[in-house]
Amino acid sequence: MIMYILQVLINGILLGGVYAILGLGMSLTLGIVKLTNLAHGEYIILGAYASMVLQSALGVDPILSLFISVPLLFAGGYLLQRLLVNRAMKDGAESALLVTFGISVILKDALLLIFGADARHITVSYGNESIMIAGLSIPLLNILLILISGASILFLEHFMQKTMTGRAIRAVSDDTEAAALTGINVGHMFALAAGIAAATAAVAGLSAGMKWTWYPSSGGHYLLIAFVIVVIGGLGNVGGTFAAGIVFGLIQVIGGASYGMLISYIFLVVILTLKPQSMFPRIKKLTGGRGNDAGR
Amino acid sequence: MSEEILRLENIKANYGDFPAVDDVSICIGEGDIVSVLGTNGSGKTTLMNCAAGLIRPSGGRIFLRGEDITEMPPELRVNAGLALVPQGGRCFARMSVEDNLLTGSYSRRARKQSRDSLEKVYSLFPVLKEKRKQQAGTLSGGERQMTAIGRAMMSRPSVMLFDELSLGLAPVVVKEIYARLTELNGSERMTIVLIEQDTRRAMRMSSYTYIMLKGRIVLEGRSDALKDEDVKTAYFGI
Repeated sequence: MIMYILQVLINGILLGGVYAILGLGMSLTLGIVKLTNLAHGEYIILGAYASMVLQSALGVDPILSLFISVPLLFAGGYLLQRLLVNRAMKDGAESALLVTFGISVILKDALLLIFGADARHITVSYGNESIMIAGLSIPLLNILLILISGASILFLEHFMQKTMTGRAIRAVSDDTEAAALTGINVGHMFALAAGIAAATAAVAGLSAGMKWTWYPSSGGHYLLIAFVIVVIGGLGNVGGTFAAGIVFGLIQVIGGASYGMLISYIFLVVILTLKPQSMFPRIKKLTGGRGNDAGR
Repeated sequence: MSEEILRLENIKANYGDFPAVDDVSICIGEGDIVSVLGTNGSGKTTLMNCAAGLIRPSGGRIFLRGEDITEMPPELRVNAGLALVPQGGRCFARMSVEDNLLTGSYSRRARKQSRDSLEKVYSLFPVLKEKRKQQAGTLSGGERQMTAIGRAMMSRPSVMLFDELSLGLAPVVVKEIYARLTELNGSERMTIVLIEQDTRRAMRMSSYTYIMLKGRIVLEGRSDALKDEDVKTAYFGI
């Protein structure tokens, strides 16, 4: 029994990596651009199809397809933000939200047109293999997935903390006007953030596509998961997102296929009702964070 | 007056439907310290936001070293050598002091000299070096203002605009910061524009003064030649 519980917990934690990367892009767009990107679910599905197509076209391991799908989605996310969403944001958050909804519908229908409504799955030869560690059988795939997710998150965190561009993105997220006054092109930073978010969706699409089947219409499902992760983990908070992914993963394995999502949404409502302060102070800081009130 | 570096010509700007700045012209010479004074709501901040490019004026032109920059976005004005320290400093609260400063050297021209600039800021404000790892949001008001000034210095500007530098700071801190600015003006020939409500101190430090009321310039002249009563009358509009 103890072995069984341990097994379930470990699988939950490993799956958490997939959930974390599902929520990461959403968290970045919300935290930096202050925009709920309703097309993020479709970006993830697009990433899954991209890896699927590349796997069969090049005959390589789907993980290697990231070298193409990540730059592709980055470019797509950057351009859509720079050419379309940034413009709409000048008229306020609502019109930008509607634009992302429009992008979501267009992508969903385009995918349906191109790939049909069939269920898809990225299959790999090692998909069902497990390794035994101390009497526990751990799926090799789950280990791979958390490694990919962890590496992406570490890379992103390093980029945000240590590079000039990462600093500029953080500055924009803190105070857009003050950032413009230090010589930062805010529109470019918004687009970079959106591009990075789309790039994480490529990783998320591959991970989810190796783990579960999907349809062109699965974007909404992943958008909801991403939203729950963001609420648990906090906005634009890379470490928090990873922790939230693991919490979510544990809920999923404990609840199983029948109750996992139900418990997650109940958990979401409970968090929003009982501990909104864990989420809202962060939002307040991000949107109104001018930091010039306390010392007056 | 020395050679002109920044000129605002017949600037008009609205705050919503309300005309906040109405046909204002000011001219600033290289290496000068100039003050623009006025009460709350006299249009000083709007005028400076026009200069920095945060607000597009509805009329008038802005020239930096003779070049028309009226249509230039704010980030390119920084690259061209114009820096505004906004009201309250507005440091990036969740970033460390050093990250705040380094962000200041983002613009292309300043980036190569970023290490050198950092040393300069630290020697002007040694307290920032001590607290360089600290989150800016946890600093005192004066230290935050110093961080904001340092951040603006990092862009290697030739003109610095200060919006209500002294607002909400203890007099001893204001005195200290003003002394540092005088030093900067002396050693680097930095052109400084002070937007202030603290009339006396700003006038003592500057060579030329403009006084704004209800969006217009109502009095201007050499700071040491303006009479006390005239300043008072112009400032309060009585």
